[in-house]
Amino acid sequence: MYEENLITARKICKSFGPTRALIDVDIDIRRGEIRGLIGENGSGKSTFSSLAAGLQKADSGEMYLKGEPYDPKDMVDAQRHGISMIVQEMGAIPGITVASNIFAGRLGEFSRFGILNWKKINKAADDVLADIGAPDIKGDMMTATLNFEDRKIVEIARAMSTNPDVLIIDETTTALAQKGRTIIYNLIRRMHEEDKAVFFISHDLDELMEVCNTITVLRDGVIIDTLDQDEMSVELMRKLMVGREINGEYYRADKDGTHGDEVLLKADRISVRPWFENISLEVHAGEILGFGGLSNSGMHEVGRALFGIDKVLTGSVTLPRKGKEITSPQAAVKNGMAYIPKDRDNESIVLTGSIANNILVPVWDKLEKAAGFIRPDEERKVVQEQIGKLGIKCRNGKQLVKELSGGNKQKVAFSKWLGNDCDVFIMDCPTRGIDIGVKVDMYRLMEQLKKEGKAIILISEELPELLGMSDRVLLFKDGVISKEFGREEQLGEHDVIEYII
Amino acid sequence: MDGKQVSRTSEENVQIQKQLDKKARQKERIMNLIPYAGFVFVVVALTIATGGNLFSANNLANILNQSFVMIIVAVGASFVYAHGGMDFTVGASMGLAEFVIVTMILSDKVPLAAALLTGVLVPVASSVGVACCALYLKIPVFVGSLGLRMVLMGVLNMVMTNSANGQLNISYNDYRFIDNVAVKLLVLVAVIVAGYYLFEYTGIGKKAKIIGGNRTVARESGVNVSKYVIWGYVFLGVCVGIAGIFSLFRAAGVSNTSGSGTEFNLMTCIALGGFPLKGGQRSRIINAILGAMTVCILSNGLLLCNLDANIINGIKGLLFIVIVGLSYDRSSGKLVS
Amino acid sequence: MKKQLKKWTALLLCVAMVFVMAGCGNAGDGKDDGKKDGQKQEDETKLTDTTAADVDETLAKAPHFNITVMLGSFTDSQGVETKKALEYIEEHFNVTFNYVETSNTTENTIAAIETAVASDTDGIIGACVKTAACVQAAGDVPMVNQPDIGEAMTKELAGKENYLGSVCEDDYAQGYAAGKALYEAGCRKVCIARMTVGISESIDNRGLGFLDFVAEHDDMELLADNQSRGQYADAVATFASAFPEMDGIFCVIANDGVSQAMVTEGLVGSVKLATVGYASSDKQLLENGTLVYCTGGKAAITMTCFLALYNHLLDESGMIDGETKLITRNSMEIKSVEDFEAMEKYVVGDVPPYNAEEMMNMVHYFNEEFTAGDFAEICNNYTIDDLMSRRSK
Repeated sequence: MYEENLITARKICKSFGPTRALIDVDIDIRRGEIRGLIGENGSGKSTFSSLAAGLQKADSGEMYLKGEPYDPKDMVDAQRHGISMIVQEMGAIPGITVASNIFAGRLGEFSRFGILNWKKINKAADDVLADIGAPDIKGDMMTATLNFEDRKIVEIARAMSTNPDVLIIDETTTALAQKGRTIIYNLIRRMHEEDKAVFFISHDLDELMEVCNTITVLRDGVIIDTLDQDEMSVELMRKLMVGREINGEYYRADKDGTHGDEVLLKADRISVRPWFENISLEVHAGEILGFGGLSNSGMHEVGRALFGIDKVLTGSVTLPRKGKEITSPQAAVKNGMAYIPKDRDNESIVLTGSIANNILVPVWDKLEKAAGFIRPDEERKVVQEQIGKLGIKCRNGKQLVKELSGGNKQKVAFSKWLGNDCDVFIMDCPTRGIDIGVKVDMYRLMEQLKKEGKAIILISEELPELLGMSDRVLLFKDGVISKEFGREEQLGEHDVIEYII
Repeated sequence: MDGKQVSRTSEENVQIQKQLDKKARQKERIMNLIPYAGFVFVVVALTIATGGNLFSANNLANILNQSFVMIIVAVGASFVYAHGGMDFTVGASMGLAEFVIVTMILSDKVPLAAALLTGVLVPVASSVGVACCALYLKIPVFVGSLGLRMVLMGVLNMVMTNSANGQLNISYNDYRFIDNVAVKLLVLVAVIVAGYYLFEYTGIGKKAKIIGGNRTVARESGVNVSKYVIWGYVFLGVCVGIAGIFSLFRAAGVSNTSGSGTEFNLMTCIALGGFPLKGGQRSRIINAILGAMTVCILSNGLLLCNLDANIINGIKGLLFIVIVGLSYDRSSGKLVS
Repeated sequence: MKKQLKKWTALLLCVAMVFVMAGCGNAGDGKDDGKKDGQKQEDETKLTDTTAADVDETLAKAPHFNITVMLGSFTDSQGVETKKALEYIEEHFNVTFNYVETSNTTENTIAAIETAVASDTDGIIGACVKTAACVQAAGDVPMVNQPDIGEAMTKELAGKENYLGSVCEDDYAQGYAAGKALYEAGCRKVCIARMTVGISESIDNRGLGFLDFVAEHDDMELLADNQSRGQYADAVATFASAFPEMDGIFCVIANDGVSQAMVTEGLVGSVKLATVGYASSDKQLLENGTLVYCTGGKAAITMTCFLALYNHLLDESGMIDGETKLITRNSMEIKSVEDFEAMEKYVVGDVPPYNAEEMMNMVHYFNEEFTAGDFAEICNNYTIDDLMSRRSK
């Protein structure tokens, strides 16, 4: 059966508790195929690749490899069958040598009478590394001495060391810079030429267009469509992923950078060691102030300091309208500030808490009556209003946040502040890791807040988003503001990059 | 093209989804029910084993007397465990509170009410001490409270030895009006109602649960974490003080062993009742009370059965493993941080 | 699936273990009952060999009593000895004992007494520390207490008819005698290892007795006073390294760790040891002359409690003085290998310090001539020589 295909999947189903990650998925991978797998978070693309790589087991359905029934026991078994995977999260183990990482689980192949021949192992590792185009990394190096990027390359070497027929690459390129990407693209090309197959999972639609010759779109655990090279377009893919047309402009349509005159938040020469020094800024009513830069440029930490989370070494943060200085998150919240942290699951929402309790955290103080009494009906009112306003998809307010999708989680994080009637918002990567559909909702919400005269600080690592949404942009580099420009200037991404790198 | 179009909204898939949702809800409901089932199992099994003696009028009063202290302490501890804290000093601080009260009573200079009030302040101070160690000295609460427990045990031992050679007594008959079933019932109801109100209808309980769920989120959402953590410990201290008062008049005296072991009994109650040891939203006072009741009825009933002490301990331990094993929510982290 | 299976198997096994243990507990009791009947008959025939047949008849006619016995622990040497003696009593008299461990805390003891009362026990042998509330918990159920409850509390309990009194040994005297034994063995530079003062009054009194003896003798010098809670063996090791001139150690509690430490620290031959209570390995130390004083036969304390209670239950004859409500028993001193062997044979052996015949003679119901005075005298005469002479008959 299916001898013509490398991998064939029929009616694959997989559930995690009540969440159905894959429903009746059929996939055929032919030789020489570079198959892109796209879909929003939670659409099931990582689940499918982990089934193929032996990381998890399907609940039902069959898989065939070159016509033979295929049911890998674990990752090593899958590798033995010729399927290797480079995983998004799992890293190389730092405490051992590069060669040990590459041949982890298979070192037995190099032993003789129970003694390992390290010379041979290191030589073999060197060969693999040279083969994939990274001869500068050697097998006997300690993994801990390598930088993040090179460790990823070690993982690629590990996947390639078995000379696989099918290579699965799960969102690896987002973590890689040019060197790593070149290696991966070369490998993909070679696999194609050798009539093998590649599974390529990425968020970057342009990258997928360039690399793949077929693209499968998943949504909610179901295959929506499979596109051949001539059918591919970013617009179509986006539409298929989201399930509806993305109407109008993705970002703000206007080129108008004007805003109110009133200063709502003011920072005067603030410093936090070792992140940034002597930063002064003002945000006005109805202004979206963008912070751009690399993740270690200090911009995230400026956001934290403005909200009073990190104590400033010098200077002060003040709210001129209230005449208050911000020295703690409590003071910030009390005076109408809101903060949406970058690390949503760990800093923004209580995963094990209900939607209602998450929304109510900053609101309780306002609902308190005599003897600290908080009326349940008033609580319900606030929660209902917020769920309705932002369209959070849930059974009811009692549902646990951990059961929601990434986008809906982020909506909960937003709604707790909207329910608290804030006028200064600090948003640190508010659209990170959320679906396009929800992203658009977030952008519209920001515009809405701007119209209402709120002040917004948008900290973003995505330049298009930053440029598309901000009235004014501050670029950070090494803890200082390297450039400030307004919306009217219409700078492009290339103009910006030189100020941040 | 791969396969045919599969729709999530097809009749069949909607049914499957409904089934899965139902299963998940059932599982959660069962998890929540297990502590109750454990309680019912203990009560039924012991009623049979004791031939109904468990519920004789006489023994019901015993159960109240014997579980009173643990229930009060468990209600107080709910506030601390809800935010993810713990307190090993409760046993020693209860003993110290008793010592302070007895000393004041024996001095004949202090009115009883003042003596009791001062006594309650002792565990409040010690619990707040634990909180401060954790909050300001950044010592893990497990280590900090264990350390303070040793200090307090040493102090109790020292003061008892110096002033009374290990034992201080008051007249039992003079204080019968306190060691009295009606008074105890009244106090018990009052403490539970007050605890329930604070836990479910005020910021003290609500914020404690949020802090237990995720301390960083609480902080970055403007919750004054230190304040609410300390409030939790204050309430625990008050409850330990109240429990100490009744424990004192029940024994009509204090010795260096007074209150000892309460801290570990408390952990057993919390875990047996299905109260999440890491705190968070699943924290419910009723679970703490349930745990205290289960432990006390188990001890009482097994004694009534005239079982060998070693077998009693064995049964207690195994039941503990079974109930906690079935009901403990592993997803929320380690049992003891 | 496999994981699930394992989980459920584990839980099932745990549940099964609970039931098996509960079952064992009950079955054990049942078995005891069966054995009791069989053995009682057997033992009764034995009794007829040694005693008059008419006594046997009276015994059979005596009513049955349930008695609750409390002790801090039934697993230490005194506890094991005591439990054995009580099981012997169950075999020969028409009584059933319920054993409760209290871990020496007042809260536990009160709860245990309340529960015993609720389960309709006929009498209680309590282990209350010095608090009247503990005795009050017994309500109207007759009760004898094991350690001395103290003068003040006895006064408070005056008029409480069901409280028959306390039975104890003179701990102070034992400590004093231990000091004397060391002195007589030639020790002049001594150390004491005791429990942290304040935890147990009776154990503290042993130390006080010893210290008083040392203070009374100018030529005896106290080198060190170690009060670590329960770490007696470590204390001995510390003494050994810190005081090479030391020639005597008094330890308030005997245990094998201390005996071992004497050997491993090389103190045998140069340092003498005195203890209260005894450990199983003490025979060896007595043989080589290291141990000069220890005491044993403490099971007799609980037996005395039983006899006082039993007398009261049968015909309300009071065996404990109504004023002092206290019997202070003489403690059994062991000073030689012969003493130790005799104790092993006659105390820990099949028959406890008082055999069935002797006990019957101490019950007014069976022996009308027996009085409280006789009872006090018997308690006072308790020595290893007394026991040996009784058994040699």
